[in-house]
This record gives sequence, structure tokens and C-alpha cells, in this order.
Amino acid sequence: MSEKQLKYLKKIMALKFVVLELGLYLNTHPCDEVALEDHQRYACKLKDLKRNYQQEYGPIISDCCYKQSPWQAECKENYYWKYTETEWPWQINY
Amino acid sequence: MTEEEMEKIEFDIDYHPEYRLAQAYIPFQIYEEHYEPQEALKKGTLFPELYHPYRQEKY
Repeated sequence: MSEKQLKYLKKIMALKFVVLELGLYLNTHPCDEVALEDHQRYACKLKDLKRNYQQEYGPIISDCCYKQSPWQAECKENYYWKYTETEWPWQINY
Repeated sequence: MTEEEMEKIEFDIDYHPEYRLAQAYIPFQIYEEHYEPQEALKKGTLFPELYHPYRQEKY
């Protein structure tokens, strides 16, 4: 895993944690406008980041693995299990 | 001890405890500031008011 990819992944993990934390807070404070705004802001940012990451590096979890892959030409378009082809999050070369 | 006396003791324990019952109190959290995402993940909480790391102490 390249340094750039790892940095990207860490950003996603951090944002995911923030969205989770704000979600927990909002469970008991459902009308807190500032928290709601922050939650929305971070959730959108996370969504964008995840989409960009997955376009570049492949799926993070196995809920979106059907897009054709350039290294699987023998598969029909949109019928290819990409999940096992990409690096696992813990495959880090230190 | 008669059955009647036994019952009386049980009644006393149930309804007149020697000590007060425990009462839990949790202050209502107010959202004011938060850590940056990377720092929050490192600290295990987004909220500075909930960050209480254990410190090693000598006894």
C-alpha cells in the first residue's frame, strides 16, 4: 500500500469516527443545530472521500464490487467481484 | 424466632434500609467545540470534555 493510499485511508477512518461520534451525541440531543450541521458537513465529506478513494483504489467493503475492472478483461462488464483483488486495509508496508 | 418476627425483620430490611440508595447523576452534555478528526480518532473521543486519559501513578 502506497503512502498516499494509507494517508487517504486514515482520513476516511478519522471522518468515519467523527460522524459516528456526532451521531451518538445527536441520539440524545436531536435538536442541536450546530451538531446537526457539523454531522451533515462531515458525513458529506466522508461520502465524497469514500467515493474518490474507491474509484482510485477499489472497494473498501464488499457492498460495491460490480464495476468492471481494467485487470479483469475476461469478465463481462459489470459482472466482476473486485473486492478480493485490492489490498486489505492492514496490508501496509512500513 | 417465630415466623411473625422473621417477617417483621424482612419488612424492615426491604422498606427501611440502613443506608440510602445510590443515585446516579449524569450532567447534560453541551456541544461547543470538538477535536479535529485525526486527533479525535487518536484520543478515542470527539469531545474535549470527555477526554480523560488514565495516568500512570505510583503507589
